[in-house]
Amino acid sequence: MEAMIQPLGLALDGLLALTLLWLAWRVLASADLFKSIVFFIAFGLVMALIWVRLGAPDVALAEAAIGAGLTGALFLAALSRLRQGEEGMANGTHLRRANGLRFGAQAALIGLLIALFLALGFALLSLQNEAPGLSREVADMLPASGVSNPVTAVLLNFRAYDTLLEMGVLLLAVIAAWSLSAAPKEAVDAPGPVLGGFVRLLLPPMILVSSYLLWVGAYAPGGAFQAGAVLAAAAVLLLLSGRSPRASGWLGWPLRVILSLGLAVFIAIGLALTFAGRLFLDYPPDEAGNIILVIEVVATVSIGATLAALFAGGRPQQDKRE
Amino acid sequence: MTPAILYAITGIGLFVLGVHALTRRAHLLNKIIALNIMGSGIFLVFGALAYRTPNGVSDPVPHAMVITGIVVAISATAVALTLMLRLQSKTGAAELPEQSPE
Amino acid sequence: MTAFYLGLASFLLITLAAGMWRILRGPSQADRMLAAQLFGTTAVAILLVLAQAMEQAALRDVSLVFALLAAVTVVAFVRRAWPPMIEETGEDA
Repeated sequence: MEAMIQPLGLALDGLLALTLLWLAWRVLASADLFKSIVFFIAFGLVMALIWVRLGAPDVALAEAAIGAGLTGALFLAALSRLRQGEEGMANGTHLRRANGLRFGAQAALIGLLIALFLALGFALLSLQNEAPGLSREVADMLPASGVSNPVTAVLLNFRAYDTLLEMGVLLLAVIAAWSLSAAPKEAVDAPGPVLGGFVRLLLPPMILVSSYLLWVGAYAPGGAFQAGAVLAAAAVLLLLSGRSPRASGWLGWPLRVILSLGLAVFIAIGLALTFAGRLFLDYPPDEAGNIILVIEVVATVSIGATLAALFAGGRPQQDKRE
Repeated sequence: MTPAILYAITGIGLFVLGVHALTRRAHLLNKIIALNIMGSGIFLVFGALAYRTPNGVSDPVPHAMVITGIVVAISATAVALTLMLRLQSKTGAAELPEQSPE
Repeated sequence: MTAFYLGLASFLLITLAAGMWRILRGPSQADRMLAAQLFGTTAVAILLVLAQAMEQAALRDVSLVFALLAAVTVVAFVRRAWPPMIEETGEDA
């Protein structure tokens, strides 16, 4: 029985890899956009399973939260807006070019891509089979980081700059989306009894799971990104159900404060540390756990709001003003 | 063949498939999905290389970078989709124009 | 026992092929979407089996997130994509 474990594990890995490649091919080759999107949702699921096999449950959680919930919703909403736009056009200006590449050019492209694959594969095989990377250094410094989950320690302590800049990227993404267009007014009817009841049933557990992931991230897989993604999925569900917060005053400055809160608090803590005579974002080991918790809480709320705002697809329109 | 090598090669395969679709498909939604697949391929190579530790506990640094990358990828995708819809409302087609005439 | 769980996970993965066939063939968009949801359900099962096989309790959290968020995609489909889009019989597979 014991001897079976390794070949069976490898068989599972091989199956997963083949499934992933097949799904990717179907995603990219389908002529129908809707079919592409459905295959892409399935692709995300298989990706999460592979992260589990690669011993990366933290990444699997992020992929599950974003791949299973948000990506699909985002693409489906974009596709429906695309179709509405086509209907608005006078008998649709379908370009539908055959993308005419001559045969020679096609062959050259395929040849180049095969060469690229072989070159990257060769580079890969020339790497050492065993490489600890930075895992030993992380394990050595872990007691001073304030948390016991190494991934959270890297994200919010050792490489906190990355996370700080990522919060900046998220804020920039919202600014870019808002400056491109106003959020389209979706003609959504009020939710029926099934959807209404379903949303009422599902929202509390989602918020609960989000807080759980946030808290558990200190010592087990989880953390601000995963919690934020679950929170965003809850907000997307609320937006989809037609209970838009449009009439309430929430879409004015309160939303803007929430969106920028993560970045602002992160920078404020960094600056406070420099005034206390330490380096920027260099936490004192005794307080590191608490500082990380504070940053994670605001980051979760900001990430959730940012992803939901990006789903809405433009700056919010307030009924009062227009 | 170890799982790390297997998945790393799969990642490279995804990347190459994505590049092919990115150049060959005309519709911008296809191109955005192709970019996402390319990104997934790169993440997979990262994750696979992090799995080469001798003691079976993966290197957490690439994992942290991939988590950051996944969140950045989804927000970049959202902006790209907004751009695509904007282009469609301006030009009537969610496709890039043929090479500029002059 | 681990070997049994790994075999079980592989078997569940193979059953997904049936679901893939549904996505490929359709014919309606709802068929495709529901097949993708079947993927999600099977993925939850695979994760629970793997949690046992790999002795990682955290994988149960992953399956929890899966189960909870799969609904968002369906709601997005029903609310945004379902009524206005023309039913197409996908024979282009």
